[in-house]
Amino acid sequence: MSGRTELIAAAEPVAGLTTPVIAADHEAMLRSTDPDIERNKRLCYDMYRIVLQAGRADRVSDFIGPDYIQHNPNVVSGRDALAAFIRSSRPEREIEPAIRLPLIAIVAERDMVQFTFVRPEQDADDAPYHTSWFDLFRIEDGKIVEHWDPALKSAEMLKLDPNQRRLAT
Amino acid sequence: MTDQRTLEERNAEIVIAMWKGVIYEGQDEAVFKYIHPDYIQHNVNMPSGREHILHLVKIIRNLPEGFTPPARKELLRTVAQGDYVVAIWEQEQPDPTRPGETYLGHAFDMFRLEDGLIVEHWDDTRKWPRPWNEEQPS
Repeated sequence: MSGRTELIAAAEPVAGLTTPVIAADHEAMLRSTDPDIERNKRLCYDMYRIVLQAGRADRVSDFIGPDYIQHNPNVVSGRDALAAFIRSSRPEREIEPAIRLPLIAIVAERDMVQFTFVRPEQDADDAPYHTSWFDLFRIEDGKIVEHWDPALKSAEMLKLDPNQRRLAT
Repeated sequence: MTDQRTLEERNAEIVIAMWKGVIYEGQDEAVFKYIHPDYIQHNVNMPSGREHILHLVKIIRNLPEGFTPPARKELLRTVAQGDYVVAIWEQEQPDPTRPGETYLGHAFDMFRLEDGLIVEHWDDTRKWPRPWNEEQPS
């Protein structure tokens, strides 16, 4: 069993809507009594903060297997395609010790690790609201080999830098 | 006989049974059996609180004229740990690059459970033009 952590308010709620929540303690979520599960969670967490958040395309092969299968409809499969997507969609930034996007939960079982984030959005009238974003990873031989998310096919998504979606604090 | 299932196995079964009873069959009984009265809802189209799901299942049983429910999603797998269950679904989506055709997208739901009841729910849905609780059953 992994460390349970509190959910805390992430931002002021939009009037009349549910307050978004995030995990209080990332380290507690990463720990597990099962060492394989803990290792898999830390692998995905570090890939997120080093490759996706800090834009370090040169570190992709530390985390991603060569036959990486991508189910996001806007990114082709393969490790090189991921590195190219990272290079074209965001600048290199300082590597930080934690994920800065609003992380709600890390849920891991067997060879799967799942991240859930708060996702700020705007409706058709540009009014703000919150929904959630999900990243599911499959691990094989200590590397990430497959990824799923809820992305819809879109030309704009190819350039999207998720670091623009941090919540105002 | 003692229950040999793990907490994760029990929670995943509860989520699947809830989905079948509530969403596919529109049963009031499933709402009461699986969902806490004060459950918290993060889907922007639904308010928190179990009473709103009772309204939702009435709509599911009697779809209003002209109302198109979201495309049916098929369960791909669950991932469960501690109090959380994530359901990952396959769902056909219209392809904006090939009009009239679809591609296979994925949808996600996360549930938090306490003592066998669903107490909190998150998903990836965007805002609909009208919230669920403004619809009326036909």
